[in-house]
Amino acid sequence: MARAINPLEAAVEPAKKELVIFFIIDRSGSMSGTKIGAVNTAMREVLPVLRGIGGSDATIKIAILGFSTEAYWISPPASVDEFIWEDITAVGWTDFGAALNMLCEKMSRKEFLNSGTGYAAPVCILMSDGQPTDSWIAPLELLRQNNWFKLATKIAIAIGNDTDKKVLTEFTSNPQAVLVSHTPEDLKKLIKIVTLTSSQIGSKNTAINVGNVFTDRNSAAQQFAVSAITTSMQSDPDLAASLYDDEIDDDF
Amino acid sequence: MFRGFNISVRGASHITRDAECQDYSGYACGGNYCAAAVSDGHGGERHFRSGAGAKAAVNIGLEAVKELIANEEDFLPSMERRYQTVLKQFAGYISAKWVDDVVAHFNENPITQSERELYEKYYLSDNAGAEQNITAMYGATLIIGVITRSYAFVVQIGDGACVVELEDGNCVIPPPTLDERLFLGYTTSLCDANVLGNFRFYYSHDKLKAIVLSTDGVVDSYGKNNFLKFNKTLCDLFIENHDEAYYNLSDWLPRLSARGSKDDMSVACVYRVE
Repeated sequence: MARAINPLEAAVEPAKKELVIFFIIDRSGSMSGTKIGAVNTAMREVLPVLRGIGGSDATIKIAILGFSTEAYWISPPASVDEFIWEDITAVGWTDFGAALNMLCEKMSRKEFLNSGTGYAAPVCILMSDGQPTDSWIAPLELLRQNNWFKLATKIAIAIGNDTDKKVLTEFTSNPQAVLVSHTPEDLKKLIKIVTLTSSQIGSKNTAINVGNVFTDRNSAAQQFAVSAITTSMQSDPDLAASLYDDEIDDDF
Repeated sequence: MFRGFNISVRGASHITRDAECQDYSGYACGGNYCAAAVSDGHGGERHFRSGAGAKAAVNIGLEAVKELIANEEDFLPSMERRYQTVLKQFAGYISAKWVDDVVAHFNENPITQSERELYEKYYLSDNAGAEQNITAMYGATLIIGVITRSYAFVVQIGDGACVVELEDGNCVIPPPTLDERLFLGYTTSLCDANVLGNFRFYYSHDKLKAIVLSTDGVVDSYGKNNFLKFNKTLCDLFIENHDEAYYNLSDWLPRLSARGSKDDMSVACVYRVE
C-alpha cells in the first residue's frame, strides 16, 4: 500500500547547502610556462570529478580569483555543473595583498555568500610560486577577522622552492596545510587531491561539520582535510617525498 | 488554553555510526503557562557526554520556568520595562544549576573504559588548556520558549532557532534571538566561560499564537524561507489536529534528517488554543 502523503513533506522541500571553493591563483610572470600550464590542465581535469561530489548534501560552486599586477575575479561563484574552465595566462607582479582584499570583500553575506539555502564552510585553495610584491600583512589581518575565512578550510600549494612558504603558512594558519610541488606532474596531482579531498569533507553533513564550540577558532574541517590530504600524498611516492624532504630540486 | 509538544529523533549520521541522540527536548504546561525547551549536545569528540548535558539543560530549564511563573507577581508589574534584568537572572540561575548538575553527574559517573581515550586526550593532556574544565564534556545549547496569559518570552544560548507565530498568522524569527556569530556549525554553549554574555532574550506582551523551537539539525535542513514555511505549516497542522500533526512530524523528522542535515533533530512548541 502506498504511503499517504505527509503534509509536512509535501509543503516544503529540504534545501541543499552550498559549498563554495575559492581558488586563489598566482598569475604573475614567474608562473608562465609549465607552471600555469599545469594549473590549467589540472583545473580542466578536476572539474568533471568535482561534479559528482556534493551529492544530496551540497551544491558545489567554484570561484576563481587571479592575482598578478592587481587582482580580479576570473569567475564569481558558479555551479560546478555549468563551469567551463578557460585557460589563464601569467604575466606581471605578485599582488597578493590585493587578492586578500578582494577575497575579504566578497566573503560576505552581502556579496558572494548570499544564498538562502545555507552554506558549508568555504574552501580556500591558494596556489603561488613566489613572494608578494605588494603590501599583504594588513590585508591578511583584515581577512583573518572575516568569520567565513576563520572557519574556512584553507590549503596552500607552493609551486617550487622559490615560494615564500612563510607567507602561505600565514594564509592557512597551519604549516601542515602548506603543500609543496616540485614538478608539473606533482602540481597537477596536488591540485586534484586538495580540491577533491577538501570538497568531499566540506560538503558532507557529518559530525566534523557541526557542534563545534564557538571558542574553537580553528576549522575542524580544515584539520580533518589536512590529515586526509597527507594520507593521500603518502600513497604517492613522488608526493610523499615532498612531505618529508625540503631539499628536492624543482623541475619546472 | 495552551498546548505543547516535543520530539527528538536520532540523526541519520548518528544512526550510521551507532552514536546516541545528543538532542533533548521537553515541554510542560501549568494552569497559566506553557513552556517548551530544546537542547543540542555538541557531539564533537571533546563533548562526549553532551547528550547528558542536553538532557540536564532541558530539565533544568523547564523546572526553572515553573518556579519563575510561580513567583511572577514579584516582577510582572514591571516586566515590560525590566525584562532584560529578569531574564538575565533567569538565565544565570539556569547556567549555574546546569554547571552544578553536570559536575554532579561527572562525580557520580566515573569515566568509563570507552570514554577513557577521549578523556585523556581532551581533559588530562598537557595541551588540554581551558578544556580541562569538565563542563565542556557536557556542552550543549538551550532554547526555552514560554507563553503565558499576558506575555511570552524566549531565552536562548547557542544555535538552533526560535520561530514565533504572530497574531496575524505570520511566522518570524525574532531578531533579538539571532546571533550573527553562529554559523557553519559553530555555536556558543552552556559550557562557555562567558556564558551569561552569550544568552539572547526575546520578550513580547503580544498575544503570540505559538512559539516553535528547533535545534540546528532542523534549521540546517531548510533554507531560511523554507524553514519559516515549515514552521507555519507545522503550527497550522497542530492547531487543526494535534494528534495527527504529531504523528506526521514523527514520521517526517527522521526522513528529513536523512535528506537534509543528517543531524539529530528536535522540535518543541507551545501554542495557544481557543
